[in-house]
Amino acid sequence: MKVALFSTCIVDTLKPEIGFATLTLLEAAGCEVSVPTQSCCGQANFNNGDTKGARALALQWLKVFEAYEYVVIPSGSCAAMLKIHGPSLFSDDEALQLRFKALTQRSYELSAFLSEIACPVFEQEISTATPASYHDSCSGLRDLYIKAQPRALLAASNTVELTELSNAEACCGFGGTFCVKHPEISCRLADDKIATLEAADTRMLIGGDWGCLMHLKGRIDALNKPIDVKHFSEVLASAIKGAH
Amino acid sequence: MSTAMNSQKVGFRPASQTALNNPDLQQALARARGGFVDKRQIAIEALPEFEAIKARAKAIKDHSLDHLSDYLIEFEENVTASGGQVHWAQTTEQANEIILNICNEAKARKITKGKSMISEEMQLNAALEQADFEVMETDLGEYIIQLAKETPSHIIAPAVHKTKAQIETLFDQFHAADLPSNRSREALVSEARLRLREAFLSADVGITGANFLVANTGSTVLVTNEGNGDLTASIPDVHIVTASIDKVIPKLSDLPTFLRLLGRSATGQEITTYTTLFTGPKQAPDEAGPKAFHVVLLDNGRSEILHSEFKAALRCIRCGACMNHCAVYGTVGGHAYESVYPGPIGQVMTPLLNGLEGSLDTISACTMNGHCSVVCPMSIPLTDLIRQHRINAFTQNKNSLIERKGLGAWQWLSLHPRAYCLGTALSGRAVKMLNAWPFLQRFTPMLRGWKTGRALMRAQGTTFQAQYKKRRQHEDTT
Amino acid sequence: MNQARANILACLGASTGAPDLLLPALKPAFVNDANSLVALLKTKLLAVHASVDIIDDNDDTATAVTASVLGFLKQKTQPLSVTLTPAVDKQYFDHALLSISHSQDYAHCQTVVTQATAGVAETGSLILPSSLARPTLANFLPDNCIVLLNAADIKPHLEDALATVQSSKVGMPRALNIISGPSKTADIEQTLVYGAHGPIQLHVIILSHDA
Repeated sequence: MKVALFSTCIVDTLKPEIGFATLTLLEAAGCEVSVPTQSCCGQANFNNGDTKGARALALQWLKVFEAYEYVVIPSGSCAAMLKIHGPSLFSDDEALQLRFKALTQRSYELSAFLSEIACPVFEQEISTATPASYHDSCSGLRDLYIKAQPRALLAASNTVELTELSNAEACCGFGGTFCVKHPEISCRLADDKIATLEAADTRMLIGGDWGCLMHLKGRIDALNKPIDVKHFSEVLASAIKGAH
Repeated sequence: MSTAMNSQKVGFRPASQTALNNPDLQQALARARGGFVDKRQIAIEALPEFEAIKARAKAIKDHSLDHLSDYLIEFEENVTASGGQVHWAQTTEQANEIILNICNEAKARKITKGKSMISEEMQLNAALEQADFEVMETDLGEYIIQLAKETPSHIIAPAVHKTKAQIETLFDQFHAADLPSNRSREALVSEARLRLREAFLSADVGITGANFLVANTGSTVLVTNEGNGDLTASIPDVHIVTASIDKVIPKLSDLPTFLRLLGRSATGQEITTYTTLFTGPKQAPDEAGPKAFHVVLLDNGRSEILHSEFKAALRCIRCGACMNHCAVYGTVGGHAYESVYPGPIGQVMTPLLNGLEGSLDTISACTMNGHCSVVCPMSIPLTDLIRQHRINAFTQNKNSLIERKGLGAWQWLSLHPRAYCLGTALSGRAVKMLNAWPFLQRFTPMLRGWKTGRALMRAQGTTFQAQYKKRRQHEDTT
Repeated sequence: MNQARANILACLGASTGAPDLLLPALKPAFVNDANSLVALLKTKLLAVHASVDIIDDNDDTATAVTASVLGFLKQKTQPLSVTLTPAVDKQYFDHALLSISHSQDYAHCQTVVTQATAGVAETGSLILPSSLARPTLANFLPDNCIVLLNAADIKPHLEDALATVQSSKVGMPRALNIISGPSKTADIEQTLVYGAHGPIQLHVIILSHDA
């Protein structure tokens, strides 16, 4: 199975660990993984009203990834950008739009890919499963219906013991450029998440979008809270034999 | 289009800061959020046909909007046939003038009012008071904010931002002297009931809004829980209904579909206590009821919106679900939006009613989380419409130069692989350095937005692609 | 103003799409035999703090209705007097036990008794079209409102009740009241308080016609 990994610009620049964790998981699932030269899906341009710029980036993404059987993306928002909003950028060109749709149909957010297409066997014995909680990033949740998949995978990996947050689906306040345009509101929303984390007495926050997690971690660190923040790929990869 | 708001605005950013630091408001918002969201969820789960009813309502409303002129004419014919009068107003000024004329002709002095968001657009109370009419809001929430000289902060719960203590203080000022302190909510409601009963009974004119206008019967529909709408509409000699032109639905048999969505989406109720259809003035031989029935239809830009990419917004039934579920509204409340309509529907409507330039801060205050679009019972793609305003702002060069240049630079960088690799590598290294030597962060003003409330993010210092390439090269050579 | 009308209609433009929208009926499903309708209506009214008595056809109606009214008034510690709207048959009441008035000064009546023309089980609602016999203000001004309803007049859905009114000889009344409980408000800290501007108490007496 030829899979291309689209790491996303945030992971590429600021959290390569997620790229490598995703690689570990895909290879352990029996995939032949490529990482073609890649950049951005265009989400920032799109959400800020620059549809021309977004189209250019989406078109480049198409050209880079079209050759592959599957594309796997460790980010709900980037996957949603491409799969849900991408096609609308090509409404001026029906043939191109069809090509784009065809590629998005074999493009998956990571937990969806592992749930539907191919999954590694987890080889972790339960020792002391870390108490953790999951944050549902909005795009993944509402555009791609990512909810049960990461939880099921984490359960199967025997790495963490998940406690549901009362506000698991609440927006964390990242929202892309929103978090720097309205930082006070953004941090207040992060505080609401942190409050329920503390109430649930968990020490680890897990999610599927490093944008959200990076923002939450920034707030957690500023408040000196002893809460670890991880992308689910990192947690799952730790249960793969031979992974480092 | 006329501008509706007065000029005491400070801007969304300062207003939202004030809101975040207001402990009473924060307490009120937390309480409201839980109530509205949970009750709606329970009501929706108890109705298996909910999604089908939503689809039906959308179909009826879309059809209605496609035939708006025909249904408005049919409505007018049926109102007239039942002895009422329809007035048309393109602008809020025209609407206010019509109402002032009716009140003057009726030699009115006292006016009671039910809750009407369109009358807020018109700033009707101010116009009436300026003409020396005595206006009394009768919805308890509206009554409270009238005493407080404030505007509504939510479209169905106008005083949601107030705590009981604040309301009690307000009542102490305006009701009888020597009332005991720390009165119960029941006591406060009783006080208001007594005060407003006097107003109801002595009103010369009653002005209400309308939740729906029924074309094939010429009826206006009013839903309340308090009963104030009916007391306003049925006691005085003159009943005036204010409604925007998009409120019309084709048939009486269409009404239940909308009622099933409205109560559940707004407050989690299957139906409000009072749902009344008013058709014309009093009917002989029944001598009870108003002698005159007037419906003032206001356009205020809707006929233009109908032909725009924002047409779907005209399906709105003013339930408030969008703002109840909005992460941003939940932190700052309605006043921060400084507009008649707050929350997501406000972010869609305000630029259309008041112009895009003055609304840029408001439309940026959205995380695009999509919750509003999911809960909207009329399937309005609110998130997409807010984004459409951003698209229009960008295309019309209305957003900031820095932002345009930044997005342009990012686009260029992302399309040029070598430059992208270099740019991202440098950024990663810079972030690593700024963490290692925090004092350097003083020289990075562009990080101010991030650093307001957050620690700087960490970075390994080299990109994933670069590390991957290196690893592959290493594997290939071993 | 007529210019405004012309301008608005011109701006709206001609209609587009099919002239009529024909959709199949869509109503919430529930068991709707006669007994179930009564039971559902009662359940919904009780849930919003109305009180409900069902009077069997076997009972002597006048005695039973009077007993229900007295029971309600005593429970709420209200004076034992009522005002009847013209729609109500005064033969339902025992004048020896209950003081009866026919005043139409509803602003100064403590308790009114009126009669609904229909009920709606789906929403727990009473249908009261305004008329000489059923003044609308009787439904709103008094502190207590007692409504008589024939079980046979309980319809399953809102559409049924609205259609009946629309197709009646009189057609649409000045005010068609659909009443689903006593008045209430949650405007103070989103906490429900019963008794706002309309009646504080609502008591419904269902006159049943089966055994």
